[in-house]
Amino acid sequence: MRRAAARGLLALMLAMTAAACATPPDDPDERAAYEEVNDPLEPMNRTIFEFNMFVDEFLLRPVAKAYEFIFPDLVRNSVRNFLRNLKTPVILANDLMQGEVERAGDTAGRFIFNTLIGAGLFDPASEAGVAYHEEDFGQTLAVWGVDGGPYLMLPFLGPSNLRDTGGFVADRFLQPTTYWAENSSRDWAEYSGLILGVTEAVDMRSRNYRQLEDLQETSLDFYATVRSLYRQQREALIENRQDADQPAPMPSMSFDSFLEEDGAVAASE
Amino acid sequence: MTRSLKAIGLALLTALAGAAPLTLDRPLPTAFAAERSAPDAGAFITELGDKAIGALTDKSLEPDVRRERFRTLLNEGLDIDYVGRFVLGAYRRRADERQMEEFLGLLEDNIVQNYAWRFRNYDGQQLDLLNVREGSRDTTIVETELEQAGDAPPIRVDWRVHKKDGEFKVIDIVVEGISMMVTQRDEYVGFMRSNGGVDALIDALRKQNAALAERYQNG
Repeated sequence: MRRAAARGLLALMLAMTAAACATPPDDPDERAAYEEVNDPLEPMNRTIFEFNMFVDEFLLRPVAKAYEFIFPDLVRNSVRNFLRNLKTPVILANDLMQGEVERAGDTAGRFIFNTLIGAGLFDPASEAGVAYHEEDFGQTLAVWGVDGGPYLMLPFLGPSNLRDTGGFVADRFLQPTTYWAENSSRDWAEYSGLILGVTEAVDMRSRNYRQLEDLQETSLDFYATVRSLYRQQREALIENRQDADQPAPMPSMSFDSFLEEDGAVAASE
Repeated sequence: MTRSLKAIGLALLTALAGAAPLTLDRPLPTAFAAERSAPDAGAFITELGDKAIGALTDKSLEPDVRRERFRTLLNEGLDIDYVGRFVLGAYRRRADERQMEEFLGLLEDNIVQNYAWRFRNYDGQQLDLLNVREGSRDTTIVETELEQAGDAPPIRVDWRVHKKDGEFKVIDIVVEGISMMVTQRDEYVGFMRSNGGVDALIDALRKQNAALAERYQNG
């Protein structure tokens, strides 16, 4: 995304922030739940969520379905590998800013290996045992001790919070293609960030087609489900806990007998 | 939307689809043998998984038979009283005895309707026991990994268990860091907040169970 567009988005968010706020409940239990969810802009967020669901139903889902139908696995995997490889600078920079030297080594090694041997389209590094991992500036901020802040539903982009939205914008500055686009005289270059983003969204939607459908169908409050999943997924990502050989911290269960967290201390919140 | 839900939906549902196909193909590390009750908890999960594979995965099973077998296993393995109270969040104190009883019955039906049929698609995925450790407040956490078909990386599934009347019972399943109980609670509490409390939830669950039962019968 271009700088101006990113600034415009933030300004829009701030303007809408003033518009609608939820009222905190009086009951102490409910208040605790309200604070954990941290969604003071819920009425506005729900409206944007409705909009996103509309976009998903009539645009993203049909396109993703067609994409999956038309292209063989080989092509779709190559597209994903290409996008992932392109994101290397962002992931590497964030690995380093979090002091994760080993993971930074994985990221750099994967880039060299996959670019030279895999031509950017294949992922021989994963087969050699160095799996892909994601990092973004929102996670880096969390590691530095910044709280998530209020939950935000962004138009088109989906669930986020104040910290991760800032991180999303910052990551654009870490992405070399952003600068290439700004200096290129080619007409379509201006939209390259958008093209990459849309391609990624289509790719991911096509991979999670049935799972999302199921989740949506069985949830009584899909907005609340997505909000919960976002919070939990970000916490897991921030802790980098997907390594199976590390003791995994369990999410805290705030119930009478379950007030403490097990395992390692969470990196944030 | 998709960006954030990426791995989650996939992990959650794949793990549930395989729900507990377990095989203990690594011996328990001896370091844990000393821990009070920990190895037993691992064996409990392993046995539960074996029973599930034995009773539910036969593709020729009648839907009704599979469903009732799943219900039996669910009652044996899950502390539904505990889970039910947890997922009501702050609303559990507002539910009177009659509402609580009705809700617990509907929740059980809901889990059965949602998950029993997934076992017909089982095709040999294995759940490997990784580790067993103590959690907070007399709970034990059984860490497992669900293997996937193809070159997809395995999915991490942790089971939180506690003892009820001397028997192990599952009280949470955590898939790649996503707690099923926390997710369920956030969904229900979100629904009750905007739709009018426990009665509204009971009503919605009754409707959903009927719809799920119909879908189940038709395919």
